[in-house]
Amino acid sequence: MSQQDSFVRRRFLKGLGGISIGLPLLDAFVPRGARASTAKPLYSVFILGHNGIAQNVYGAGREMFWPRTPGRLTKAGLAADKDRATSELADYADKLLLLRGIRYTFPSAADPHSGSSNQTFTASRSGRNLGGGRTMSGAESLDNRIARELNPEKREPLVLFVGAKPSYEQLTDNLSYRGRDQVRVGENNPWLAFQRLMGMNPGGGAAGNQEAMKALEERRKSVNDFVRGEVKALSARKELSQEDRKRLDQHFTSIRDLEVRIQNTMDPGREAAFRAVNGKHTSAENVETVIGLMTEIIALALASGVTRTAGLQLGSPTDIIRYTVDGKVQENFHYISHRIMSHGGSGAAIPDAERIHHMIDRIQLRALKSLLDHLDKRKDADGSMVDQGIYAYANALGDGPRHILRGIPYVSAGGARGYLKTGQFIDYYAQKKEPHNSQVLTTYLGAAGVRQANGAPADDFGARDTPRGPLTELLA
Amino acid sequence: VKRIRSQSIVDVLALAGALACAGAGCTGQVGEMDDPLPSGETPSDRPSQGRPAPGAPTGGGSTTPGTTPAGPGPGALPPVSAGTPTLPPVATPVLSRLTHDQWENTVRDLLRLPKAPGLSQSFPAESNPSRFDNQGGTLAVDGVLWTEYQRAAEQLARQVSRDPAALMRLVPAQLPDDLKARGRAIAEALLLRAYRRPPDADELTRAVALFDRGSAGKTGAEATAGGVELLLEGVLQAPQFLYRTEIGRAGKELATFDDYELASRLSYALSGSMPDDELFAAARAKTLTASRQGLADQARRLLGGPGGQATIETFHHHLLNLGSFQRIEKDAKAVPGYVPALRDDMYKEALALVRDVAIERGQGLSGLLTASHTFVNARLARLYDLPGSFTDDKFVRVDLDPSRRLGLLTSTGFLSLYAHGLEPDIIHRGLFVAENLLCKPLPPPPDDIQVPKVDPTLTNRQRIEAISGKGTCGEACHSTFINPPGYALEGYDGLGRVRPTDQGKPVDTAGSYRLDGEVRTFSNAVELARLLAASQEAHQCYAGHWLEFLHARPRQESDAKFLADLATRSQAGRLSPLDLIVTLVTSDAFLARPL
Repeated sequence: MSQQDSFVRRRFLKGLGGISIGLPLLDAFVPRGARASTAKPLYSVFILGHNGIAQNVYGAGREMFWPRTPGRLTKAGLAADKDRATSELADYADKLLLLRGIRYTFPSAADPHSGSSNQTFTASRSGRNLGGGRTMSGAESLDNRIARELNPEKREPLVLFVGAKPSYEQLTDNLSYRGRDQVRVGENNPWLAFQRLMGMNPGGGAAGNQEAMKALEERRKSVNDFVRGEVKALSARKELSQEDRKRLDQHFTSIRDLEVRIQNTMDPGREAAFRAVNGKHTSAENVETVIGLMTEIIALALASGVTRTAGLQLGSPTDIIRYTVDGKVQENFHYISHRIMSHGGSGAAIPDAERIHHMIDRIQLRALKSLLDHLDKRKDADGSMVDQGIYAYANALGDGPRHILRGIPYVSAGGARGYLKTGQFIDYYAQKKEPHNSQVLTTYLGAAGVRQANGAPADDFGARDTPRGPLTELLA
Repeated sequence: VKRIRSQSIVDVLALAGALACAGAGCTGQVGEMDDPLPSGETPSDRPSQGRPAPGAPTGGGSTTPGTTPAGPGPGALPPVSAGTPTLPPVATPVLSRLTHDQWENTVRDLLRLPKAPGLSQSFPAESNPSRFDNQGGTLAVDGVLWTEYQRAAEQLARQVSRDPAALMRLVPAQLPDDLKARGRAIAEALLLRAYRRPPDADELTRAVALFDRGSAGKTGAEATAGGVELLLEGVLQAPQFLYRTEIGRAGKELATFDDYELASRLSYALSGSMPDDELFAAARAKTLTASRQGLADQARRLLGGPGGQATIETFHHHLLNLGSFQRIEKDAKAVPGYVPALRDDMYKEALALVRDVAIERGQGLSGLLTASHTFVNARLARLYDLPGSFTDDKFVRVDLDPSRRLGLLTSTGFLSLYAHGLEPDIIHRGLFVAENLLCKPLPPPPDDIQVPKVDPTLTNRQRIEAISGKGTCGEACHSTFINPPGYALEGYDGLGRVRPTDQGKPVDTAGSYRLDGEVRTFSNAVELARLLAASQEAHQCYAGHWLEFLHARPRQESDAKFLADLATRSQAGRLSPLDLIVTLVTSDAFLARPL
């Protein structure tokens, strides 16, 4: 095979929904064991909200989130509880798994926002304390584990973010961790995320012109060969730590001979929709629009095989997004969650704050519904993509005013092709049980398709001193 | 009593608002100055360090070396004067990825561009866990960032190689006619500056091969441009460019950084960018490792230029949270007197004071805390209740009544930032003093605390006292460390205006605070500022922040003795910011890392 053949030859994958993407052949550079599983993929998405939900657990607040009756969920039943936030998901009643009353294993090591949200999808105690109440996570997150085990060419999970990232918050991202203290930053501009997914950067502008494309490929191949040589040479320095080598390895595996490019995938008009919010993507009036665009990108990335897992973070740990409720841009969500005009304990009361909080819960659950709507359009013999994965929303805290680290809501859809029971609302709080979130996440891990060497579902997620293994009552 | 698990006290900064208040406070004005920021510069331009765009190259790679002094050898440090405390080396990252700001500055200086390219705006935001956003030891290159680096490299390479003037600035002045030799000369010079050290033979071979591929099939200037374009694309994506590499020469217990590594450490510490040509020449001549004086001379040279000024500004920008002034938001209906333009005004006021005190007067913390003057335009003059005539676009220096106002703690920006609308935010004002000025190690709030309901007719101080003061579960932390400085500042409202009363009662600004191991009392913010300025603890904290900033690492216990010595000198007025910086960048911990 000629050198040219080696980079021109590419495999084309066809994902659900007829999306084709050209993926480079990097066999020579992909570490053994890091290649994509050949089994039919399962998908996963994790959505993280903050500031708690409007629910009644441990003796405070009105119940405005969960269905009235535990057990079997039906569309009619969910819709009838129209004053509850979960009614937003009525269309997917038979695919849902609602878990009320989950707890964290570890107390907050600092500020409850940081100390909780670092556990929501890691089930780990905190890592580095940055001062000012902020901490990093002490271990990798679920999306990272899934990506490193299942993603083609060890690709990074897709992580997106809704809202502004004020620099004074020091640490806005807290959903996805590569490992202890290594937070993965989510893109908060849908237009940039869209461009990256579609390979629309200026350097990749040769798409559509075969000759120019070939010249670009050749050029990049030369440069990439050079860069790989430099990475290898630097990695060979004996003075480097294991951590340094890990970072260089990540650099190495990030190098691709041609940017993944999606072909014939979307209505051309969609590009305009993404472009339209560019620069206005953190404006209060665009919050729900941005959520819709972000879920659209995630669905596209999953369907095209770019990644099998993704994360979507709604706001920073102390979510100060100003959501629009009743047609009016409200005070920042953190004030509303406290019910007063303050980030602290003293301030003027905000009228109707509990109901506004409930309406924000609805917006956050509509993020999950928006994702499900995009996925449900893509179907094959095994059903829609909703049936072929696990898509979960969780809030970092139990409720707003008290910011408790108990009663953590985990709301998921999708049975992962028969792995999970669905159409269920399990009220652990009412049962006076408090499963640990490590057990929930391990259940999700199996649903996402991560397996042990013997083929059994993986059962080792979370810190070593948390209860491990899945919640067996959730398995089909 | 509501039972709660953990009431947030260290949440994001409070920015929204309520009532109005008026007061008097300041007198007189002296001198006049233009807008304290250069024309066209906005506060948001300020966070990154920088120095002016370089002029024509002097050829860092081809500088004739001077006499090579004999250095102390691998693992050995240059001597210090007898009795001088040393700063023990601590583990530092061998690889530090360039932060986005450093990347911008480095690309500008490497390619000798008139200004930073601005391409990092589309890079994924980085989550840098340090106050100063300059610790690259945990930053990595992932798939998304690699794509962005590739895009930027292709764009920059195209831009430079196709502009003859830009190309001339980049390549050595005298180039061989033979294309092969030309490629080698170009690659050697480029790699020296891009990798911030001379390339080894293998690196040079790979670079020349890349140049050759880019120039293949072309002749003359076109071949040079083609080779440079491809070479630049590669170099700008190479880890040797994207990561600062500080390995050192191993001795028995220490690895001492070599001249090129020290040049890079010094340059990134003081200008946030790669070494300039003079620093490269010093590295080549080995004057940086020969003696501490050689390093100190280069540090003073860099600090003497605009780059040094930018360093001092950048440090205070982060330490004093000046960037947050831009995000002060208040409801103009609830906070009479507030207009959005005040955000810029307050930022400019604070920066002008930093420039005047720390740069012009060479004063450090004491000067910042006890300056009895400031810089105002008409909008700010109204907040300070100053008589006289002012305009919105001119800032003038004014003297303040030192019995009412003193230093940055009583400046409008600080007081407006830490407020809920018009109401002072006692907790966050106090937290700023405890954390930023005194480096108090505050433990996290407990998981279960009880917050009593408070009477809304109480004063702000009474409400906070009821929630977190003596007799509550917040007594240990709030009463002792956080609230007292906030109480001292109760005499200023959410726009920094003097407020004599709260809820119809005279504001109570008295309190006590433990400083240097002793409980000190104060009756108001002015007295608190004087106490802080005279405190060893505050000066040690200030020196510790400088250490964190210049060494790009968190403070450690082993730093304490050295910092205590710096604090003693600073407290006595014997250590200007410039001397403090030079001391830190010539310390043992800057010169070596433990093995």
